[in-house]
Amino acid sequence: MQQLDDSILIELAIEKNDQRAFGELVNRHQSNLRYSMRQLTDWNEALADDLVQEAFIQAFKELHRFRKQAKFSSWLYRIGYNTFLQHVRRKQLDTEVLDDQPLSAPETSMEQSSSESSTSLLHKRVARLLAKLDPERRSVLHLFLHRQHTQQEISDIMGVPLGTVKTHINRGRQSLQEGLVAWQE
Amino acid sequence: MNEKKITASEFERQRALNLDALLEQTRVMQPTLIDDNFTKVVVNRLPVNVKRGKASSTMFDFVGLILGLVAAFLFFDSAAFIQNAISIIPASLTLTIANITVAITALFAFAWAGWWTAEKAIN
Repeated sequence: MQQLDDSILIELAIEKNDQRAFGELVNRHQSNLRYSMRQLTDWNEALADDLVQEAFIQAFKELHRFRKQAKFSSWLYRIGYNTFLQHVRRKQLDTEVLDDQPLSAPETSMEQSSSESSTSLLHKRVARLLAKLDPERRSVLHLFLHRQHTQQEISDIMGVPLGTVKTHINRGRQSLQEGLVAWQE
Repeated sequence: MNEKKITASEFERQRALNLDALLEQTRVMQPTLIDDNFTKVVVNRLPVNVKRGKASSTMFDFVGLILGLVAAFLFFDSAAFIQNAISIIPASLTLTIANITVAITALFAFAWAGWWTAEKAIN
């Protein structure tokens, strides 16, 4: 299974309902999706993993809709993002939109926790910055700044108009920069 | 001679303020989150029987479309339809409060229906 290309694994999962083939796809793609989801959920590891599991199950059910000219990881991200959005809508989770307000400093406990490694703290710090943005802008910024997708790719992945993506990037960058400055003060 | 000297702490501060540098650091240091147990949990939760009816439903839609077109061609009097449609258009129109209310309500209904359809399509 490990030798097979993604497209063959997808074919096996669709045609033969091969769960081992899909398991291999989960193995290959879980790391990026779990990291992305942690960034979107303010580094809530348990919640992020739950959402990624939901996303993979949804992907398995909808696998026949995957167009082979697209990147599987991008398609998967879109499902993950939609799962995250559904969760936000259900729970009305962290939708405080502070784009036009200065960002608050993080809790001191997070900054001062000596047990946290500096690497882990770095990722949590970025997630905390992103958490201050509304979910759509958060996802656009993550795809643009971290995954380094082009604006057109982000538009395609998220199904958002290109103009909206550009607005999110400009305003989101500004908000993140203000957040960084606020933390230093 | 006019070179501005900055202290190490100031350098660190400036680096921390640089968004691109911070993001670059997270990219380079992104953890690998691969866990066999996670994969097992996902695979165990996968449905055993999945109905993937895209091909059959597409074929069904296509046959329906062809049948509809043939029926329309054989039985539909397009000239009379156009005449009727034109005759419905009023020669003059007087706007009343009731007309405007109906128009605004219809507009909102269409906008809401469009939004609802888009939401359903995304999910």
